[in-house]
Formats: sequence, structure tokens, C-alpha cells
Amino acid sequence: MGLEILIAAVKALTVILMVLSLAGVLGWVERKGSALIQDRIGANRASIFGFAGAGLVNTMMADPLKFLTKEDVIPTGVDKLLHTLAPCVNLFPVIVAFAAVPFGDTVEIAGRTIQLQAVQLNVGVLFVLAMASLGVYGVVLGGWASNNRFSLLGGIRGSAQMISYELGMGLSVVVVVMTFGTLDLQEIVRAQGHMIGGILPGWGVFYQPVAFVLFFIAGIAETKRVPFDLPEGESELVSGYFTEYSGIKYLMFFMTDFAEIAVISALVSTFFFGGWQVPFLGDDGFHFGSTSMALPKLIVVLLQLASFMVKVLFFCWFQIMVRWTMPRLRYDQLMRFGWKGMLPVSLLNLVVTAVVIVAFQEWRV
Amino acid sequence: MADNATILATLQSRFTSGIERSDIYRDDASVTIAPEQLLDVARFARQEASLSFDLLLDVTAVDYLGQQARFEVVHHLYSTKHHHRLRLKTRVLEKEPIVDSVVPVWVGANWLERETFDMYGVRFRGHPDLRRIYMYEEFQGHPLRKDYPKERRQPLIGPGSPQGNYQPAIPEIPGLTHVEGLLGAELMRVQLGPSHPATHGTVRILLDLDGETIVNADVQVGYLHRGFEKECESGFYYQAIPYTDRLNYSSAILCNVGYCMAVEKLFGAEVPPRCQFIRVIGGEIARIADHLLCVGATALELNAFTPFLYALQARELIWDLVNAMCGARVTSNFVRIGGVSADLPAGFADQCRAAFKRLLELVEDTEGLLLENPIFRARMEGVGVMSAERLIEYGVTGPLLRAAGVDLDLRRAQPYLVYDQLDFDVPLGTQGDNMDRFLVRLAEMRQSVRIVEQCLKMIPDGPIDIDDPALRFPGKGRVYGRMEELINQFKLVTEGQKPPPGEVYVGTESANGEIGYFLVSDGTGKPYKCRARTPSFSNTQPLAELVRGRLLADMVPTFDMINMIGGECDR
Amino acid sequence: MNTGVFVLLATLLVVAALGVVLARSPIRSALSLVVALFFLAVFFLLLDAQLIAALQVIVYAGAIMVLFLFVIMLLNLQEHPAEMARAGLRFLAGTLASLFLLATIYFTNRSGISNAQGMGAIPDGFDSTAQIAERLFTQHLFAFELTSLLLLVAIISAVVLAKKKLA
Repeated sequence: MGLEILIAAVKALTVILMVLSLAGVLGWVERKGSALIQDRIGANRASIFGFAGAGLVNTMMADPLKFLTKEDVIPTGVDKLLHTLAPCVNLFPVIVAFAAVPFGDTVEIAGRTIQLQAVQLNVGVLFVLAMASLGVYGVVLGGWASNNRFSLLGGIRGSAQMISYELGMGLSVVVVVMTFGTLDLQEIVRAQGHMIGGILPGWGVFYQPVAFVLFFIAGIAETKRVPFDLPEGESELVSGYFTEYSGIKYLMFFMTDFAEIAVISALVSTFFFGGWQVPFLGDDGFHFGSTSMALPKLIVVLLQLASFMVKVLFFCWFQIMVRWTMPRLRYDQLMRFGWKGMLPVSLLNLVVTAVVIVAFQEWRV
Repeated sequence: MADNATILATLQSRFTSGIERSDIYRDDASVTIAPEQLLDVARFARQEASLSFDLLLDVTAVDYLGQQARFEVVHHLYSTKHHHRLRLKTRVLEKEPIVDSVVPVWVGANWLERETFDMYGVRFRGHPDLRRIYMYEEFQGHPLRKDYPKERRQPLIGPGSPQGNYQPAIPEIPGLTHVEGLLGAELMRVQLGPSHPATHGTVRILLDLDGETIVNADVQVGYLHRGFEKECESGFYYQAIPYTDRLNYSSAILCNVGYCMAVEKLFGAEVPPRCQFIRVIGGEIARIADHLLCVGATALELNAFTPFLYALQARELIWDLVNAMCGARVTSNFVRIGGVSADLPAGFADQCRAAFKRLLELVEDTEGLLLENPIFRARMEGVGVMSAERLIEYGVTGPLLRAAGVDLDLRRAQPYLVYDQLDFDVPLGTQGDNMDRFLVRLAEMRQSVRIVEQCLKMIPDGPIDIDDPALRFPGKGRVYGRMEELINQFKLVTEGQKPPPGEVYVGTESANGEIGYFLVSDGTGKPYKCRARTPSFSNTQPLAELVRGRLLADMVPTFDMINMIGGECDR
Repeated sequence: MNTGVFVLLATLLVVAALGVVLARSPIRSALSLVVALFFLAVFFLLLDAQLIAALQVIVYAGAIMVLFLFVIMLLNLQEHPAEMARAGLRFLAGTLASLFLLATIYFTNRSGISNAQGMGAIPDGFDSTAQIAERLFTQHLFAFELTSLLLLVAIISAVVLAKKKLA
């Protein structure tokens, strides 16, 4: 019993650390990446004994320290409890959502089988969706509790936007669930281990390309990033729902932003890009058709972990690229796109998938 | 185009009694009319087909302190059809400074008359909303009156309220049209600015929102008012040039050129050809800088940060060119009365060509990220539309008007300097929406590059200054070498250039539209009246109408494409 | 289920539920409801009903309550303690609620769910999504379709009402 709890604690800690450090790294990637896109140098000012680490010192140490030491301003006339609660409520579901994401297959240590997944849930998909739907409360609370009309508008925008895009997101996930026939994230990843025709990895994206596009768009909308950053909309709403936040609370909103990027990337990898699966890699090594290359189990696990991380980082980078290329949508355009564009397409996708699955039972993965 | 004599004759034949005086001075036609006739004359000037003065450029007043009819209210008119101008003057008494408002004829008179009221205390009968516009409500007196000393300080806050204890009144929007939103919800009063990321010129926009829809709007300018006219009137003519830099600080040379041309017109002088070319080169380079800023800032406000930085990088090249020309970057103070401060440096042509090559690449990058982007198009197309007629009625000029398809570019319509020798196009839009405004500005940048390249080829050798001791400061070498020049220099510095008495108006095409200088000389070294008709002021006025009924997010690109430059709008 | 955990959660749930009724500000009231629903989901989890728990959070906490908050914020509802309800109405509501509570207790007692013997063992495949789906689309198909029809009617009426107000 004690060992079980210890293992669970270690796994939970790993996940939290992974999300938080990813958020930190992403802060650096965002600053340096945008600089790369924009012909700038980017963060390079802070240094320790002349060592700036290509901006790492800036983003990993100086920025957080600056936020931590800044005054925490609570405006007059606000609901102090809700004002303080908002950033916590914002950050919490993101980290928790990561718990259900499998980052590797099972490993056996001292005769004990350990799932490389913080929590094994047989309804993991729904759990993730539930957490995603809770993310809106931070926005709404922040907007309401700031006693600022721009914040309030940001909160209103956030709630409308996130409800609208949850639909598209949920429906595209339903299609994935139908394809793989399970709600368990680990099972979904395992189901993507085969090869289609011996050459193409059996990833979700090859079965459900439409769902992948829909999910990714909805994911960006859920993370409130450009072109869907309306709740923040700094040219209209100053900073939207976190206009009145400073210091560590602001940092929490900031971290949520990056953690959400990481979560969405992890989910996209899990649903559509085989999670920790490496093409041609089986439990005991690589198999290319008839030839195969045996590998020790440890190497396989490490390769799988690396595969997951590479995929996640790729999609993080992709989202940052989008962020620095696109302008922002307008509120009515956002709603129209969500309800009149994404929703019908995902419904159609759902119907087509259902018909295909019923018609060709054997096609089912 | 009717000549000035015909215009005056047409007016005189229609109004036999009302016209007190009419004259033509330095090619400016002006009529003085009796106050009670003002509205009729205005209506006639607008409606009569041979006149059709549809554009009210400016309303201001001149304070002739000591005379019984103390205030002279001045209207400057322009015809977009015939491209001719007219100045209407109306004398009102000190005791009862009231004239008819011309808002019924030109809606754009609204702000202009408010400004005249604010600055001179002249009241306008029938004005819908005669509030102060630049000064705050608690301000005592009218600052541009000659008996208001320049040095008088007033606390910036209300009377009887010591600093720090001032409770600002909840701002009101005059003439509310809606008081209740959908489902009977309360409207939300939002104050956009004066300090807000989207109001990059310090302006306050009061909005009543029904959800996200703007139902009432009021634009309040004046946060950057520095008393341009008062400052100019208290210095010599040549001392006003740096102030003109600070009108439109993103294209300072264009503002310099207009002012110096106005002073030269007072003298009846013309600068030598090389100087004219240099002025065109400087002006067009400044125009590119202005358009780059406008284009980039619009992208930025739509959260496309990358194109903004590309545009600013391109603008940096422009500043390098301006730096090479005059040693300053932003506030260049480049043009002089009767010349320019310096000849083009050696190798300037090559530097220009290299800079333009890179600049056009950067502009293409900017375009590439925006023009084909469906989100950008959706944000810009069909937003901020106003018909050409309505825009003209508001007194809007420049790229804003050309985007609505009106071919009005003073460089073409009333060529000045050497623009008649140059080959360039006037880009026009069709829809008059924000996208057209954006495209017009992009196209104008390319035309400006073309103009500068032509000028660099065509520019003749020769002097860059008028060789007239009454006008132009002699160069250092001459001052040190000859007694007469030393004396002349001393006289000019201490007494200023003294143009003959008279009044002139010169309008030139600045980056945002017609920038006009109305100068009144009383024969001394200081301008009796130095009025700048700035395009941003008139262009900002229709904003409230442009955004009413639209979403809050539409306010941002519309405001950006208007390109309100705080210094220019608030003077 | 661990009694200690149950008591703790139940207390929290009741406190949150009381918050719904007692909070003056409509936002706080709505948020209390979110918390209450969240604890309810935890109860489902403790009863090994993961699916129901997840659905509870997605549907109620994640969607419906967000809409509530949206409307409250959009209409800018403030505290209106004086006009909250007239005395007669309050009395009526109180009486109805009490009757409902009593009826619930009575019928629960009669059905025998409350005593431990009534619960029985958890059947095999309980809470498997497939099983629930199968039940829903065979045994309870009529109720299921009826519910969707009801929702459809509600959607159409909402659209009609909104159109009328806009026009």
C-alpha cells in the first residue's frame, strides 16, 4: 500500500514538474522563436557572470523572479476572494488534465508493472474534456472579479468562445473514440501501434485527418491563443480578463497559457500521432517488414518517451508559429466559424465515420 | 476650374448686399460677408454648380483686438469637383461674438466650430453640441484671444478643487441615441483611452456597448494640445518651423514644407528648382515613413505583430535617409524659409536606392503576411465604410478619401513644387472600407518611391536657397566674411523675416490629407495668426459615425486606418 | 465507501449548496452551484461511476453553469436584496421545497435503497460505457428520443424568441 502511494506520488510529481518545466521552456521558445521570425535577437539581457544562455537566463530565471518580486495589486472594489481564486482555478485543470495523458508504455521495475501515466482512467478522454471545460472558470472569474469593464468583456468573450469550441473539440474526439473503440487514452495509443499496409504508421491522423484539423483548431481556441485570443484581445480590451493582475497571479495566468499549449500538443499527439508510439518499433525492437532489429526493453521505453516528447514539442512549436503569423478574429467571426463552420463539419465527419464503421466492421482498428 | 475672379463675380452677382469686401491676394480669393448672410452664402457656395464648394477645410477666427468688430471668423472652402478654393470671412462684434453655424451645410464644421468656440469664445448659433474640444470644461477664458497672456497658467483640474481631490465627472455622450440594450440590459459605458493600447495618440473614445456592439460613441480629442498657434504667434516666423515638426511627428518634413511655402507665399517668393526637388524628396520619404507606421500599427492592433516589426524595420531605413539629409531622425526641422537646411549629402542617391530596395522587400513581406490572410481580410473588408459624399461632407481628405474613390490629391489637383514634372499615379479605392484604405496606403508608398527615384535623376544643380537677404539667413561663410551679411544675419535673428501685411493659405498634400497653413501677417516679424489646418483633426471626426452599430473590435482597425496622429489632431 | 471521506464530502457539498441559496451576489451563488456539482461528481467517482462523474463535470459544471455565468455577466446583474422575492412567493417556494424534501425522504425509505442490504454488489461491467450506451439505446430508447425531442423544441423556441426580440 505504501509503495503504491509512493509510486502514485512520484508519477503525479513527474507530471506536475513536466507541465511546469514545459511551460518554462515554452516561454523561452516563444520569446526566442518570435524573435527568429521577426528578425530580432530576442531575450538576451539577463546573464549570470556574463552567461546569458541564449536567453535562457532571462526567461527561466529573470522573468519568474521579476514576477515573484512584483507587487501584487488588488484593485479597489473587487471581490478579493474571487480575484485571488481566479488564477488558481485557471491553472489547476490544465495540470490535472495532463495526469490522464500517457507518456509511455508500461515498464516493469522489480517485478512491478508501472503504467507511464499518472492516473489510469477508463474514461480518460472524458476526463480530459471535463478538465478542458473547467478551464473557462479562471477566465470568467478573472474577468468578473477585476471590477474592470474591459476585464468583464474579456470574461464574457472567454465563456462564449470556450463553450462554442468545446463542441467542435468534443465531436472530433468522439470520432477518435469511435475509430479506436475506447475511452482510455492508453488504449487509444496502443491501438495506434500497427502499420497500415506495412509502410504508414497506424496513427489517428491517417484515419481521421478532418478530426485532427478540427481538434487542433478547437484546441488553439480553447487555449485562447492567436487567432482566437479574443478574451485577451489587448488592442481592444487592454489585456482582457487579466488586465488587473500583477506579480505572481499574472505569472500564473501566463503559465496557464503555456501549460495549455503543452496539454493541447500532448492530446494531439495522443489522439492523432500515436502518442509514445514510434513507427516500426515494437516491444522488442524495430521491425521493417521481414527484417528486424532487436533492442533492449529499456532503450525501447526511452525511445518511446523521446518520441512522445518530440511530438509534443513539435506541436508546441507549431502553435507558437501560428501565434506569430496570424491576426486576430473578430467576435462574430469567431462565433460564426465555430457554429457554422466547425460544428457542421465535425457532425458530418461523425456521421460519415459512423456509417463507414457500421458498413465495414472489419475496417475498425 | 473657375478662376478666382469668376468665383468672386458669381458670389457678387448673387449676393449684392451681403458681401462687404472681396479681394484676391497672392492668388487667394476671399470675401468678407455680413454675419447674417453667412449661412446663405455657405449654402450657395456649396450648391451652385459652378462653385460647388463641397469640402469645408477649416473654420477658425482671427482676433483683431482693439477693433469693434473684433473677431473675424474664417472659413476655408475647397471644391473637389473644380479644385478651386475660397475664403469666407465674417466679422463679429466683441460684445456679441455670435455667428450662424454652418453645420447644416457641412457636417464637418461641428468640431471646427467647437474649436473656434473653445479658442476664441465665438459662439455658433444652431450648433448641435457646442462644447469645448481641446480645453477642459473648467478652463477659464479662451486661450487664443490676444488678451490671453501666453504665460498664464491654470491648474489642469477644476476650480476650487485642490490637486488630488478632483473627482472627475462621469463622462457624458451628447445626443444619446440608445439607452437600453438587447433584452432590456443595461448598456456598458466603456472609456477607451486616453491611455489604452489602441489609442496610440492619446484620445478618449467613450463607448456605450450593448454586449459587444457599439450603440453610442463620442470621440474626445485634445489630450495632446500644446497651443501650437499660440506658440507660433509669440515667436518669429522662422521659430515656428520646429513646432510644425511636432504636428505630424511621423512625417515631419511634409509639415515643414507646407509651412515654409506659406511664409514664402506671404513674401511672394519662390525657391530655386534644386530646393524644390529636395523638398519633394524629403517630403516623399517622410510620406513613406508615415504610411509604414500606419500600415504596421494596423497590423499590430489586429495582433499581427510580425508585419508590424517588418514595417518598423523598413521605417528604420527611412529614418537613416532622413538622418543623412539633415542629421535628425524624427523631428527633422529640415526645411527653412526660402530653402532647406542642407543640400543632399554626397552619395545620397545610391543610399536611397539601396534603402528602397530593402524597403520594398520588407513591404512585400508585410503584404505577404496580411493581404492573402483570410482573417486579416475578414477584419478589414467591409468595415468602416462611409460613402465618398459623406466623407467629403466631414472634410476628410487624403488616403481616406481616395480609398472611397475620390481622385483628390493636391500633388495632382493643384500641383506645387515640381510635382507637375513628375510621373506618378494616384491610387484609388472602390469600396471605401478599411481594406481599401490599407491598399491605398501601400500603393502610395510605392508611388512615393517612384517619385523620389525620378527626382534623384532629374534634380538640377544650383543653389538650394533663395538669394534674398530679407528672407534667407546667409550661410556661415558669408556672415563671417562680409559686414553687410553679418548685420543682415543679426537683424533676421533678432527681428525675424518681415513679410508684407496680408493673409495667405497654402494647402499641401501631407501623408494623411491636406495640411493647410493660414497665415496672417501684420508686417512684423511674428505671424499675427498662424493657423494649421491639419488632416488628422478632420479625419478623426467621422470616427464615431463609422463605428456606431459595429462591434467593439471594428473600432480598432477603423481608428488605425484613420491614422490619427495626436500631435496633428490636437495641435 | 469510507465513512470519514463521505462525511467530509457531504459537509462540503451541503455548505456549497447553502452558498447557492444564501449568497447575495448572483455570481457567487452560481459559483457555489458549480462547487456543489463538482462535489457531486466526486461522489460519483467514489461510487465507481467514472463515466457519470466525467459527464457531470462536462455537462453541468463545464457547459450549463458557464452559460449561467455568461448571462449573469452579460446582463450585468447586480445585488438586488430588496426586490429578491415577495413574502408570499417566498413562503410558497419554501413550502414546496420542504414538501419535496419530505417526499424524497419518504420514498427513499420505502424503496429500501437506504439500508446497506439494498445496495448489493456492483454488477460486472457496471459503468462500462458500452453497457450504458446499450441500455440507453435499447431499453430506454423511448425516453432518450423523447428527451432529445424536448431539447429540440427548446432550441427552436429559443431561436424564435431571440429572432422576435431582434426584429
